[in-house]
Amino acid sequence: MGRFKSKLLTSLLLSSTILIFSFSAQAEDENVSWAQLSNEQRQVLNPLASEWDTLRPWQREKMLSIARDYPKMSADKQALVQKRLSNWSRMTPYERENARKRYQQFQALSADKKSELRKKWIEYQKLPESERSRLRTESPEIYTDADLN
Amino acid sequence: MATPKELSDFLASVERRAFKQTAYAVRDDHAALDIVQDAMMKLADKYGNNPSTEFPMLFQRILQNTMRDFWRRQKVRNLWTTLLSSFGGNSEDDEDRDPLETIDVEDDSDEPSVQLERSQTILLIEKALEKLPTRQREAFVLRYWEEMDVAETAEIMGCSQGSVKTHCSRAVRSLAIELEKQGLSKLGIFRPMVPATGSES
Amino acid sequence: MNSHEKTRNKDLNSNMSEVQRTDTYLNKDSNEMANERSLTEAQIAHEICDALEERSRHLTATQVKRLSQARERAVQKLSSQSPTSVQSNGGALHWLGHQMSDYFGHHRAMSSAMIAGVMMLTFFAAQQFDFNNNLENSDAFLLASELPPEAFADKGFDTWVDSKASY
Repeated sequence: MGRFKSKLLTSLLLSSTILIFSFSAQAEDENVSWAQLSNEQRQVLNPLASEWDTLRPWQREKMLSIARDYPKMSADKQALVQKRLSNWSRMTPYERENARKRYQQFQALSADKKSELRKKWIEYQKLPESERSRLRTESPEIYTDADLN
Repeated sequence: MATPKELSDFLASVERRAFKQTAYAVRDDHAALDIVQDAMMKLADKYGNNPSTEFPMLFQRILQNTMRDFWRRQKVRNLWTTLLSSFGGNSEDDEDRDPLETIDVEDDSDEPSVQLERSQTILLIEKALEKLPTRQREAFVLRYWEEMDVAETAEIMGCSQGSVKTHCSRAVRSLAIELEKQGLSKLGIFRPMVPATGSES
Repeated sequence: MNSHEKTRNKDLNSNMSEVQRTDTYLNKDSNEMANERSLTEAQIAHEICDALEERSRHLTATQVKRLSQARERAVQKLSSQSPTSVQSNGGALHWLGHQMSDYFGHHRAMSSAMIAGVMMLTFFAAQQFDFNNNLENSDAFLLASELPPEAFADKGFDTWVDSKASY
């Protein structure tokens, strides 16, 4: 009985180990260097050429999926992607994560509200940089002291 | 093996740098304080019994990992939803801001104008540092600010010594170019530098 | 700390003209060049780090307070750890291993059920992972959005919109 259990245990352990390993192996594959990219990928990701090899594996993965969806887009959207890609890669992961969440929320807004926000963004950019940086530092923090323990 | 006093001294010697380094990486002072606090606790908890000579390396590694964890699990304040429900709702007041917040603790006052110029320079440097790609900033900070050697930096970052060198020289190069672009040479901090190739787009 | 600064000052004073000279060579890749370059690189880096170091000494009172509280907590944590529960040098792992083997020794049936549970969880998590990976919209759509990514990432914009909205 005990023997059976321990056999079962071993095989369970083994199979979950295999499962985990196969996943990490898959993740390893994503760590492709610039030279290893296909021509199409390089074309799309060209704004990142100089820094590609400094990106972390999961960042590369994200960027590769941009290249994957790129052909599905209209020409003017593609131009936008290219134009914004370099700034995008330079944001901190934290900023990108924020941007993703807000983008999703933005998508959920009505067309009216979207266009209102567009106008506001244009207006916001006209503020002097000093004012904008004040707003950034004054923005209420996500953290409260209760979170700190 | 380390005594509480050794730990305390070590932390006191690195905490300010650690905080600023984290803040440059996550661009959020509060988050940076959290991360440093986390890293300190982890050091004490898991490695408190290691000899104190191992603290610098261990702490840096923990700090880098904590930043990474933070980025992954970061949750954001749900502003767009607030917006949705409340064009016209009330915003949070910031009246409970600490008035001490704006006071510098130390003030080694040189001549005011010189000091102003210097602080502008530092501001430019900080901005340039924030703009660097993550890996480059990490390598730069560890290698030059924390004064680790190439091997140690490589170990902390989990990459080869060769890539540490590449990251470092790319970092210094783009910092120099960026600062030059900001006219920093005029402030007498740097000699004019002529980039060998065109500056990056 | 003192030796820190001394080294930097030394570097600082040694011939700055080198900065100019070597940088025009930056793209050549011979070995001597590399040496000379790293010297210059170190000089620039040290100047920058001097500035950063200076900056790090001027934190706000609140920040300084938070840091020292954090430090005190960490030190307290160390003081409260009894040396028997965790031995020095890799002791934690050793200890954990010991506990685990004890545990497994005594609760075979329980633990195999537990492992099976963990395995199922892993499996579902993996499924989920795969699923998300395939269906998740990539950042491409965000980049092509009506608003630039900076608008989504800018905390200041949020605050500003918020403050406008409340009046």
